[in-house]
Amino acid sequence: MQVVNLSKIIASSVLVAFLAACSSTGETTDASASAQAAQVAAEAASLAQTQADAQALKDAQAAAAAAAAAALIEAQALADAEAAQQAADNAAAQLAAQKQQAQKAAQALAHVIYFDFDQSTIKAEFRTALNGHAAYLSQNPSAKIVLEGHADERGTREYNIALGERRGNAVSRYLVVQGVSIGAIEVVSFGEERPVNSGSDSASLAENRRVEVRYVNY
Amino acid sequence: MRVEKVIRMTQRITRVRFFSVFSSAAFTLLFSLSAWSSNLVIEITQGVDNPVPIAVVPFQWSGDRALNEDVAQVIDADLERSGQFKSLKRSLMLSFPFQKEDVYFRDWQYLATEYLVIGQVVTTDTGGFQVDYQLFDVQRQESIVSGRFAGGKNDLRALGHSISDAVYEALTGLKGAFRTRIAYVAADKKVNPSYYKLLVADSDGYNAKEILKSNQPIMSPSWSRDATKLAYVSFETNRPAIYIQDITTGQRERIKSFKGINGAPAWSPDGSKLAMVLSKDGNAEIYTLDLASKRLTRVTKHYGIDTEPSWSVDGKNILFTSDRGGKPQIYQVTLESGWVERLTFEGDYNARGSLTHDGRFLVLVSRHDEQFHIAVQDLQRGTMALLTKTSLDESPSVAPNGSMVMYSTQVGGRDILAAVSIDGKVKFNIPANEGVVREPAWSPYLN
Repeated sequence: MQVVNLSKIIASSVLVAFLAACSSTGETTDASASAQAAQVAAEAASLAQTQADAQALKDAQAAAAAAAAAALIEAQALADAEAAQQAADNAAAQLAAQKQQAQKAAQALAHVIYFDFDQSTIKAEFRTALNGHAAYLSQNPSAKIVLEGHADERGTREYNIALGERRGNAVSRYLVVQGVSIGAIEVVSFGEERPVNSGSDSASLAENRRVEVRYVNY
Repeated sequence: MRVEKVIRMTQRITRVRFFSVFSSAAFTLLFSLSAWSSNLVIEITQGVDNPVPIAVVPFQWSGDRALNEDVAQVIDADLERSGQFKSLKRSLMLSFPFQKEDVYFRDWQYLATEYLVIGQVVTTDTGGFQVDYQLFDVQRQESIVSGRFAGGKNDLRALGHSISDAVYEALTGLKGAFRTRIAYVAADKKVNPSYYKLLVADSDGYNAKEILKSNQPIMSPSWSRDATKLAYVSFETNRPAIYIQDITTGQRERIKSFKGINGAPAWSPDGSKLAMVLSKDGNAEIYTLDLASKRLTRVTKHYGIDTEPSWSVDGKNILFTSDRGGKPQIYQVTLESGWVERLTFEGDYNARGSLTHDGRFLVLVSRHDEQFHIAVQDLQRGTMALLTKTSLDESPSVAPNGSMVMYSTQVGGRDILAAVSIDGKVKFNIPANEGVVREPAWSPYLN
């Protein structure tokens, strides 16, 4: 109802203003009456415009609100997914970091266990390192090691192969007792064939009587 | 060129009874050249107190080109290396006879020579060489033995060794073992060697030939009874495995390898089996592998180390090293019954035992005063004698005639090969020109 009235008012006021304008261009006798009519029309138009704008704004606002709500929902979902991904990434990175740290810790452990002449007894000083290797190996089932047994140059070569293996087996048994799977360990003896020190003094010989813990897979 | 010319001159004066020292200079030059080209150089370090004086006259050769080997020199060196002979210097010889008619026994008696060897070299129709030789008793002025050997164009040294064997046997009653070979392992240095090689050379160190080269350890060469193949251990796959290789064709076969030790192969006297050490059942034990059927038989069963098998002469027993008594000692197992007996009791480390061809002597590594020596135990008398005085002696290998033991030792921090007679009286070193050499294995007689 209002809209009809409004358009009527606008139409009539515009017509009046038009007529007034036309008369003014041709005639100068009734100028003030024309100006008055134009003023009325303008005011009416302005009013009508304001009213129409208000309605459109309301409509637009409603639509925007609806759109915003939808966008908000969508944005929320996206944000949730990203957060989850982020969290997962963080966790993986943390795990990798932990594993790397563990790997580094395993790498930092002593890898060479030394023995007395013709002996395969594991001395107390090497237990900490071996316990560390055992912990790493039991927590990382894919990890595998080779225990390389060595002897010094004294004694016969094939006997030293057997001696090197006995040393490797002693280390292997120790690790298995600490919970390492036997399948993660291989013992290979090199006897006296691969010395690390060429000297023949007792310190050099002691360096050669050893088991080297070599990771083939971390 | 100059050497050739001088040699021709020398050959010309072989018929002249008195000659200048000039020719001896020429011979010295020739020998130093041939020695320079060899891989191993022998140094005799100890001989018997009264070696038998013998003269080996340069062999006659009438070819138009100089021979690249001096047969008489090969024989001279063989006999000297036995420690039982002292050969007369050529510069002191009054004549160079090559046939009986030219021998003036009085000259040789004058030079206090007890025995005389003469001979000549001729080419054969097939392009090879034939060598005739004759051994004389100077006092009795009679021929002891004479003979002829023939071979290919590269066999002159081998022909010389055959003559040495014949002369040695005629004079000592013991079959000569000069025409035999040695297998040994060489490496470039002691720590992290960049290579390991398996080589085969003549028993005097000449004609060294590479059989295998690897960047991982090679160990324990053992000859087949016909001296055509070697069994050995190679770590080329980063794990030990036993291989059998034909030394002529180079063809080789890997014996099925097991987890753990695959080591110490030893050919049985009849050549049908290979004794070896495997740890597949927990720790080092002795097994025998039938080479035809590939059947594996376990020989020892003990939680101690059992290793270094070596066969008795009749193939019925296997000697081995075991620490089942607490310290390594040598034991013997009878294959049929499984009966084990201990053979060594003197000292707290006796290992790597092997028997002489007659089964009388046990040759081994024995520790005394913290030093490892080569020792021999007389199995009839039960006495043990140390043959060496050096400190890190190992891998003794007895010549097929039981006369000498070759082993590895350290001189100046380097591993070298050395040999000692079974009575300990004769010794010589065979230093390598490069790197370290070890684990000599003396071949059986060559066919």
